[in-house]
Amino acid sequence: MKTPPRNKLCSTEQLSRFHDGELDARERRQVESHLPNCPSCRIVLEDFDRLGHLYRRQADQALAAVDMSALEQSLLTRMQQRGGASAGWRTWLKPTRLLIPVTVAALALVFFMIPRPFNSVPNGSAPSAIINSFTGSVTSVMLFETPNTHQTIIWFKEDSTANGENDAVENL
Amino acid sequence: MPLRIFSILLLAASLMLILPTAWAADNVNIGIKTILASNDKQYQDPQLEGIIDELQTVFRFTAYRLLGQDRLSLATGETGNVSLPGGRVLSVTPTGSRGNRTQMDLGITKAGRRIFETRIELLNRGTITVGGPRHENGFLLLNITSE
Repeated sequence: MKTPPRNKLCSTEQLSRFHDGELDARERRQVESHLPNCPSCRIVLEDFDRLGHLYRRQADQALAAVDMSALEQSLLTRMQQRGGASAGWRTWLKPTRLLIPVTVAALALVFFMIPRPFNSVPNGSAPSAIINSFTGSVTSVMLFETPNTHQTIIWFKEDSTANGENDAVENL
Repeated sequence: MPLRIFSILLLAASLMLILPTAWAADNVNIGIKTILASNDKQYQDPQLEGIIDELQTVFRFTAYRLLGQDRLSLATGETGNVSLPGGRVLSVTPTGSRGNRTQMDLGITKAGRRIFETRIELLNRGTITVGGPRHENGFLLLNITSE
């Protein structure tokens, strides 16, 4: 196995990665085999250990100084204030959320309830119905149009009812 | 809160108004009144108020009696049937529209035999009266209105 140059094994970066457990198995074995023969690297690693202990101790002291219950209470209060504020906006916005559909509904109601003369009963001179074709077993057919509303009337005599035809004619 | 209730009521009212209208937009609504006109003792059915005056401009019957009233809601090409006195059947088939008129086929059958068939263009909200078939001591008048 080729041994890496000494200066690489002794580099602070390599030792730092070794200290933090970031080296792969091969690199770790190389450093481990190098350390018994290199006092300077052992000193560097001891410095890393001391530095780590010092950092953790400082962090523990800082955390111990924090009043967690007060912090929790502060966060809860802030969340409630934020929730209350957005709820207030939602309450304020509720009527406007309905504004568009209500406006559309109102317009639709107006549209459907306004009397539309163009759709009213026709009272022009046009007949109410145009007869395009007429077939059947009838003896006669008469077409009339009422004078007032120009309502079309079809009067026919059934072929099978010969009796009473005169009556029918008399009533026209 | 009252504004919200009012808004909801308004929306509900609009839906109730619009939905049937939208549904009916594709259908032709047709009202059919079956009338017996005769020269019996003078009688004018109160349910025929407004119709009799118009009929009297053409006919000279003394009695008008409403025998039946039907309402059809038909899609184009769909046929609706109405039973008439004397075993007759009136069939109505909307076939399309042109301008403000609805095109439709009207037919009357009796004992399975076609005795009358016509193709008309009826004004929207217009009325046509088809008459002539004998019944009892009078004649049937079919008052057909496009609603």
